[in-house]
This record gives sequence, structure tokens and C-alpha cells, in this order.
Amino acid sequence: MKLQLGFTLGVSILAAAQLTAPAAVVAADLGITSDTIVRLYERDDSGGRQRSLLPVYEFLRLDYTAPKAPGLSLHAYGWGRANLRDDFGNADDTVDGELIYAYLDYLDPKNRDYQVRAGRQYIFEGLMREAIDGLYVKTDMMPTVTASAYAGLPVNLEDEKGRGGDWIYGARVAQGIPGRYDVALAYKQTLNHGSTDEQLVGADATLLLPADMTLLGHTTYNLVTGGWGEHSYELRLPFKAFELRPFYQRYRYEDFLNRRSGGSAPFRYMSQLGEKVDIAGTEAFWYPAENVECGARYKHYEYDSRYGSANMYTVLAAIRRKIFSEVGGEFGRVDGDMAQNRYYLGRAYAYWDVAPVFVTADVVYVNYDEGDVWSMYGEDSAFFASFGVGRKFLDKSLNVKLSLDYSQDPYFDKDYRGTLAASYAFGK
Amino acid sequence: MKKSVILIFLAAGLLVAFLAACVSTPAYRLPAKHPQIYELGERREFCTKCHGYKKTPVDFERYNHTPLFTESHRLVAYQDQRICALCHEQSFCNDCHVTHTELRPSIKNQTENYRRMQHRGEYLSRHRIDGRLDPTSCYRCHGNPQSSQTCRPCHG
Repeated sequence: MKLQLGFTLGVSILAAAQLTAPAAVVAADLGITSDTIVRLYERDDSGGRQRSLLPVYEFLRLDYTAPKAPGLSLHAYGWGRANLRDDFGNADDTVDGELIYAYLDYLDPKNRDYQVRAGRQYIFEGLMREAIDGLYVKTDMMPTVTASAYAGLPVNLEDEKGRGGDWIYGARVAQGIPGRYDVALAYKQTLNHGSTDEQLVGADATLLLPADMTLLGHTTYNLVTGGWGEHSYELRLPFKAFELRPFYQRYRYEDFLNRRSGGSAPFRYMSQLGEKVDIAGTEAFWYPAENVECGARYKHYEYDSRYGSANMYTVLAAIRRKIFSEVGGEFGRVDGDMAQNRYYLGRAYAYWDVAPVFVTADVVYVNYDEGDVWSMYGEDSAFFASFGVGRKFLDKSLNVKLSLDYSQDPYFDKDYRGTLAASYAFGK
Repeated sequence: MKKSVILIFLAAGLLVAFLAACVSTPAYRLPAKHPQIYELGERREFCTKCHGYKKTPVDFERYNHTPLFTESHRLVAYQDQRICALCHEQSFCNDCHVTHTELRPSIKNQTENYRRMQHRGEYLSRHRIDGRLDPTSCYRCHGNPQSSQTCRPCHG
């Protein structure tokens, strides 16, 4: 049903766009990208019966620029899935899909002073990281000030009590000199069936300090619960081929996690605990040569009432050859006060380009200190390996990729998966 | 903190922004798109390789795609999505940030292993620990009714 509604909306917008389009659409105006993904996996159930699933996914994207209306463009993207074989008993769910976005965009062609978007769209700024069916406007008309506002129906509440009474709106105002500093204030309110689901205010800021140091971060305040939900700040300290990024985050679950209906139970449960967590640490990078990068991260978690504390250590490195080829490795340790919060992780990967062919390989190994306690197979480790190969055809317009994966872990004895993907890009 | 204090704070911020705007000169305008060069937007790139380390009109060093960029890009993305949109189509972000999907980003892009995507490898067992340590990082993507469909079959 959602798929049908989504495509109906998409087709309607496409039809509207065609009214403004010339008779002949050329590749420079129109871009279509298709990703077709066929997956196969087989699994032995507890009764010894082998079950398999063969889903086919299609991700379709369209971008159209109206040649006779400078600044006007149409963008749409959605996915659909059909199960060609399904031994898992999902008879009522053999097809699914979603219209991810479909919007008309108008960007002032003269000075790029303002932008208007109408339709289903994603907004990532300030307090927003979600989809709306509605209107978004952004303007830079006042020097050094950027203001944006949006209003519409929240897509993520579509299935919750219907769409009647659903509403989302908000705004963000930022003042600053690009590259030097900016300070922004944002507000967001979401209504679900007439009652307030979320009401947040937030502030974000960036400040360039002496010696090319940068401070950036943001803070949110939950107006429904009356408390600070998040403080996230980091400092960036570059020094020749090195960079340090110390950070600090503080969350109060009651004010950050939402008790809204339809959300998953763990978040609703944890939002009632009154827990606070402080996360502090640093990222560090070292670039000894143009094609070599080394990184490290340390994170310390300090909980107010549960788990005590935990540390996370990560080191990783990558070496590149020309532009496209890369090999890398990673080693990590999570070390919590509680024994069940401890594991080691190791990973190695390679992406090697020998145009028009490329080859990929990936190995991940995780060892859990107490994995066998909750394992179905008495295993305390997980092993994953993936091998892939791809080739580009038709002047790089068509990219065909095949990957074969194997995993063995505490929950599944042996898991084999195969994925065949074909990406085709037309125009633009 | 009372709502009235917050609203006064907001109003004061807007007033300062307005006054600053009145005494300022017009700002730099980003182009709508980065010029097409090889497969920019699909690769993990360092903007400073071409743009250098000059801080104005845009501090491109801030957007360098370090080996940990996948985990730490949100602060810069929230502040100006238009910088991301220079090279990335909206659909690129939707590999992870989407209301409802079935394919994990690392599975949808299985051969793009250089992107260091979330949940790569066998994640079912690891998520027990990561979720306990930092549920806020789960919540950012799985916190709404649509996207929590991946959690509900087991967690309710």
C-alpha cells in the first residue's frame, strides 16, 4: 500500500514536471540511476530443514533539470523488493517498498540567494535528520545570515494512528562568516495525531581559533521533558601531518530518547531510567605520506548508574594506490567494567582497481570475552569474510558487481550469502 | 530551565543575527554542484587535496573524509548540508539515513568496503554490546517508528 501511494505521488510530480519540460528530453537534463540487487541466502533451521530466500531489490533514482526554467529541478528516489523465492513463510510480505523522496527544487538561478523545495524530502540540519512531506525554504538574502524553515507531515509517523493530526515544523537561523565562525539556533516540533511527539530547541556553533584550531558542536534541549538531551563538542587541532580531535559528549536518556508510541521498546524503557552518560576521548590522525593514513580513537564511557564505565580503543591504517585502490586494517578493543561488555575486533580489507575490473576482499573477526554465555552454538567469536568482483561496461555507465559472503558467529553456525548488483546510470 | 527562558534566548539570538546582518557585507555563495571529476562523491576523499588549507570562504579541511569520517560527520553535516550536496546526491545519504529500508548500508554497498560503513560483518551479536554502551548512537537511526521496524521483531 505504501509502495502504491509512494509511486502515485512520484508519478504525479513527474507529470507536473513534464508540463514544464520541452518535448525532447536530452541526457544532459535527465539522469536516471538504477541499482538492481539480487540476494540469495540459505539457512538450516533447528529441524534440519534448509530454507532459502531470493529477494530482488530495485533502487531507482531520477534527477531532471527543466531546461526552460533555470533553477528548477525534480528529484525522486525509491526502492522496491519482491521475493522470487521465500521458504521463511513471509507469505504476507513478499513485496515491499518505499518512496524515499520526490521533490521539486527551485534554487534562485541568479544569486543562489534562496531555495524552495516541495514534496517528500529529507532535511539534515540543526535538529532535523528526517523526512517530511511538505515545504522547505532556505535563504541567504540577509548578509551573513542563513535562515531556513520547513513544515509538513512527518513521514516516520505515517503508520502511527494514521496521518490525521500529524504535523512537523521548525526553523534554523545561523549567523556567521563562512570559514571563520557561525552560530545557529534551531527549533523543531512534531505532532502525532494532535499530541506533541517532540519539541526541541538546539544550538550549534563553529569557531575558528588561532593556529587553525576549530571548535564545533551542538546542544539540544527537550521542551517536553524539560531537560538537556545532548551536548556534543569537539576540538580539531591540526599540526603538520598530525591532527588531534578531542571530543566530549553528554546525554541524558530521559531527554534524548523519545517515549513516542511506535518506537522500539528498548528506547522507551531506557528513557525512563534517568541515566546519564558522559563520553570523552579523542581521535588522532597521522598522514606520513600522501597515500598513507593512520588513525586512532579512544572513547571513555562513564555512566551515571548502570554499567560502571567502559573504554573503546581503535587503531586503523589505510594505504592507497593511485585514486581507486586501497588496502586497510583495523584493530579494536571494547573494555567495559562488566565482563559482557568486552570484545576484540580485527578487520582487514582490500579494494583493488584494475580497470575496468575491480576486486574486493574483507575479513572481520570479533572475539567476545563472554560470548559463549549467550551464544546458541557455544561460540565466543564471530568470523566474517567477503569476496567481491566487479566490472564496468558501456563507458562506465553499467557496473556489475558480485559478492560472496560467509559468516560463522554465536547465533548462526554457517551463513552463506550471495549478492549480484547491477548499477546503471543514464545521462547527466 | 523554563520554556520562557528558552524563548527569550531564541529571541535574543534572532535579534543579534539581525543586527549583525545589517552591518555585514554579502557573503560567499556556494555553487550548486562540484564540477564533475572522475567518481567524486563515491570515493572517500580529502577536499584539501585540491582546495588547500585556506579557511575562507570555506574551510574544506573540516570536510576531509578521514578514516573515521563515517562515524563523525554529523556535526559538520548538520551545520551546512549544502557542502555535502556539492559532491553527494541525496540518495547517497539515504543509504543510511532513511525512514524505512531492508538492506543494511554495508550490504547494499557490499563491494564498497573502503567506506567503512556501519555494522559491517556479522553485527547481530556485536549490537548487544554496542547498544548497551551507547544506545544514543542506535537511536539516531533506529529511533523513529518507521526505522525501528528493524528492532521490533526481537525487541518489541
